[in-house]
Amino acid sequence: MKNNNLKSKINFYFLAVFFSFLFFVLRLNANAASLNLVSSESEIAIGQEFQVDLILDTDGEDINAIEAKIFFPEKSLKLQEIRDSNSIINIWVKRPKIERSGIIDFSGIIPGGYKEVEGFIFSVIFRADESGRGAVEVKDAKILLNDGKGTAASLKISNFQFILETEFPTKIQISKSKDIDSPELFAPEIARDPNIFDGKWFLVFAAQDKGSGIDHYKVCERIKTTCVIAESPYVLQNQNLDRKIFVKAIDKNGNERIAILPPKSAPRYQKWLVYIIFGAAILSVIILIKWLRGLRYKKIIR
Amino acid sequence: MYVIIDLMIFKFRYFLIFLFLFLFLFLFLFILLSSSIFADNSGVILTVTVADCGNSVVNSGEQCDGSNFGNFNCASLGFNGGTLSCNASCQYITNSCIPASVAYTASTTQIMDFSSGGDFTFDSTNNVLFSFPENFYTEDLKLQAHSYSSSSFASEKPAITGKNFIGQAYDFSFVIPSGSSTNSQVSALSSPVTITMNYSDSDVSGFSENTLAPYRWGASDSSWQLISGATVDTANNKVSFSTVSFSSFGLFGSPTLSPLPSPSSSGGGSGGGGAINVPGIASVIFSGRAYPLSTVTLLKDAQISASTVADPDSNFQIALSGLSTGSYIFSLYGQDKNGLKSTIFTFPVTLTAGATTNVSGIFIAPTIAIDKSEIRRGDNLTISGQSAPLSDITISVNSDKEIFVKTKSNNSGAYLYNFDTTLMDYGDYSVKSKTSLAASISSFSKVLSFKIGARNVETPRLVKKVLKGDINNDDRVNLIDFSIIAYWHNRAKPPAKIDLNGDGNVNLVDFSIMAYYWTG
Repeated sequence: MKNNNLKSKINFYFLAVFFSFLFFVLRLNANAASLNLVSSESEIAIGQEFQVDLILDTDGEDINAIEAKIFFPEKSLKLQEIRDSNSIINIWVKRPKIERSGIIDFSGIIPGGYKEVEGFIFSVIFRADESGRGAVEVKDAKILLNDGKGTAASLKISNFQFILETEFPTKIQISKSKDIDSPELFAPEIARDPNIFDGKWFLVFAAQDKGSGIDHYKVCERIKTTCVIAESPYVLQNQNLDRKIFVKAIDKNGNERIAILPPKSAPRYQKWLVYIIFGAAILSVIILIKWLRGLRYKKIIR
Repeated sequence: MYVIIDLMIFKFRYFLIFLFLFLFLFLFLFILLSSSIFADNSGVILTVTVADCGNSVVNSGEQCDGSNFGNFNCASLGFNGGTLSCNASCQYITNSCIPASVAYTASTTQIMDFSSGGDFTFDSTNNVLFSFPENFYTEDLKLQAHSYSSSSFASEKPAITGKNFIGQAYDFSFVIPSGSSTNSQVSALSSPVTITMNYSDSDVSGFSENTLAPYRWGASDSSWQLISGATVDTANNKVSFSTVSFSSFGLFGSPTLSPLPSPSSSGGGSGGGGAINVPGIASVIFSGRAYPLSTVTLLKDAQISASTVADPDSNFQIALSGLSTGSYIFSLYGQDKNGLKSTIFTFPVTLTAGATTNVSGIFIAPTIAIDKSEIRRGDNLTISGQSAPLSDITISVNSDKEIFVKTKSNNSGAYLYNFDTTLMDYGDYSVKSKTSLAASISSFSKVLSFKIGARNVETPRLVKKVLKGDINNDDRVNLIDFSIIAYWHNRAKPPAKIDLNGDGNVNLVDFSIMAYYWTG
């Protein structure tokens, strides 16, 4: 009888400790920020395009840096497009793109921090190619607090599970962007620093496009028609900085915005022109003086 | 001696004759080359008489004929848009083409279906709406649209005397998109197209709105021509007109006779703040409290967008207009009279088309400074800073436990508190402050660290404090510093200055530290 009582007491304490631990763990998890992959449908017809959004829920934490990898089964899903316009990430360290087959890699920062519940990071458009079940997953994720120390925040992950079948009805409509707006105004800057590019002058730029997103940039150093596709930071070819620089931000629909940087110094040919004119003026004065002297000498002879 | 001088003068005469001959030859060749009137093969220079000029066919020796430009337009001739025309000798007139030196701020091309017509909006930030009627031409046409800042445009096509450009200047032209006449410019449409140009309140600031009118650049007389029959809707900031001829366009207005009172808060291209009820355009107005006469800086998506100076009561307002619709991350910070910066106040805002979003009640966190980085136990630590005038300042001193003390700011918003360390333990502490005024409470200031020990170590006041993350020491943490750190991302042996947490790597932690100290 005593043994039974003892056993029931031990069971009671064990259960109490277990539930306390469970409660503690659940509480801990409840306070964590989360990265969620969400889509409007999880049952998708073969051949159908669908969109998966990566959303940050900070759960009240102040977050300023994120990095992660998105894994997807490349046999069953064909990547169509990555849309990062309207992202909460202002500055990309690595813009989301395919790192190697089936993996999208990205990292970026939110200067000043972000602590809302529905922070859109980017969308991935897939096409369902092969029947079966699978998941789009977030791995190697890291989010950091806006505390000036880069402290890692606790993080929950929610992946997207899907079923692809031929007989599922086609019901998802991917909105095709009709972006006719140029990217936002932006201001490139020229700088140099002994720590990079051997102290050469370089150009930094970052534009935003709220419609289709920035596709690429072009830098034109000589004239506006001779441009090269460039990424920031861009080492300037013309280190004399004596010509205008045109920076074009081009969105995914081909709309472009041009920012112009005036030359920092006068072009070399202009300097030479000034020297030549100045030299010619001095020479003219000397010749004129000699000419006048010659006339006076002739008068004297006569 | 005189003989030598005489000889020199003699030689000099020859030199002059040679020089004149050379200049004459050069001038002659230059005129000939610029006129393009060389004969084809013989090498003999002669003037070509164009017998077939006027038959609308570009014959040999002609550059154009009437409205036939032989598959060329200003852009294909190396200009930056504009309208090409043809003279009586069947040669191009490029007076109305815009030189490459005048850069456009936005550009687009759009092929329009001639049979169905329809609407097309060019550059929503400037917002020009084209309404094409059905059968506006006999075939599909490509619209080439460019916008320019009026200041650079005025260097080529100066404003009308007594009037000023309102907003941007534009150039619109149509070309054949395909077929044998690809790129050939179309001089006139079959049916008029209605163009609606939008302007902002800030565009007409200082101008009499009832003098606003649209003008078209006349290629033949190289001057601005008033477009008759235009409608000016001052309530909605729109100007509409119909036209079949395309060239450069601009809105012009006359300055008001008495100057408008200067706005209390505007800067960096912002201002105005009125709603612009046009699809695709959104506005946002930020208002709140900072410190008296402090500089308030607004960042849009991490880059400085505008700044203003708060009034003596510490109130500020910043308006941004002409923004695309979408989600933005806006941030604000203040800089006090001593150059100290507050923490950044960040908030996401989604802007909707045609609406003005008001973000009010912003209370910028106070600035904070301490006079010692280490203080002898028992001495007073001076904690000071700036906030709104006559507000309640709560100072938090934190170690194992948090101690709150209160003080009040004076009429200029400055506060100062002498914190007695007599009852404190030895050790490391942090201090921060926040402000409350009426029902508003600010967020906390920056966090400063100090130590209670056996000696006093003054915080240097005269030495400029370099922000962490300010790699190039320009007192800003922005895209330049980010680029320098990004260069070292995952590279071996980064310089100590760039490795912000000193762990021997440049990784996400360093970027996070930089994002915390960001100033734009």
